[in-house]
Amino acid sequence: MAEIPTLPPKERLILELLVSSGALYGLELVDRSDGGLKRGTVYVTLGRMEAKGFLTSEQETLPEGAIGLPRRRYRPTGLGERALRAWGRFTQELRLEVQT
Amino acid sequence: MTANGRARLPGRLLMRVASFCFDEPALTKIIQPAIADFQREVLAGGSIGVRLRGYAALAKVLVLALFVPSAGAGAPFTWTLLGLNGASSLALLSPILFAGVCPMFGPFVAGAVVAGMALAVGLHAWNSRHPTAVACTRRIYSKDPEINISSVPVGGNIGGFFFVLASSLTILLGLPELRGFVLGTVVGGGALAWGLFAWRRSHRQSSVTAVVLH
Repeated sequence: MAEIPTLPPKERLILELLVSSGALYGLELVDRSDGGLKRGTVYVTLGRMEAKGFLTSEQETLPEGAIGLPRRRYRPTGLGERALRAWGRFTQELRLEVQT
Repeated sequence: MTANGRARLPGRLLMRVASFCFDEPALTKIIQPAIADFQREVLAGGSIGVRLRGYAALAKVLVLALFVPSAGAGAPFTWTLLGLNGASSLALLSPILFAGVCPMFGPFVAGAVVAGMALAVGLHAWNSRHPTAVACTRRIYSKDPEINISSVPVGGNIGGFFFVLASSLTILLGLPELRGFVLGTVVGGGALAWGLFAWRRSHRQSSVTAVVLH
């Protein structure tokens, strides 16, 4: 039986931000999360989510003469979007079940 | 930004140091994105406060990447402790364990360390001269550190003798009030072993015949 992927709150928040915005850098995710994500932990979470297949990332191409390291931009995968939708349905079902 | 600005761009030294500590996936997926975002923030005109917050965040990223294997990469400290290098993990954990129990069992710990090292050297020397096949479990090839008693040949050989001797001495040293019980089990066990040995010796022929006839 295939392992069911988990979707903790922080990963859910990241997926929600990425699904609504398309592609974002790590610090942009932190800025848009209204305190939900911390810049000290977001990269580890992003790395874990990429390993789980929830998102993909690509390194930006720096223009000629630019300095600094190239940034990494993250976007959700199909699996990530499906996991987020499934989580939404699950919580909805759970709420209905508990309230009735 | 000028060449002077390039020299002042934060994170370059950190990236260089990190390249010695982390593997490629950890560097490219965790460390480098964090430093790159920080550099962009500073280039955009970050104040001292932004720099301080950035450095604090980078420190946290490095610590997490060192210890959190679920980050999907890196975590060299955790991997070392949990098993990519099992022998060194045990070598590291043993002194910690001894240091932890030393305040309560000082002389016993010292005796156990000395006796354990002497026994290890003795066993190694004996085994080098009398190599035997060692039972291998499925997990023996895994990198997880473990003390696997099933991999130690404790049959009717020198390994078994040392195992019994060490177990008995451990109980005698740790629980001296049980010396009578230990003595009784040694005498009883010895008598039982002698009885079994004598019985099997006298019934060896008939057992083989029974198996062949069966």
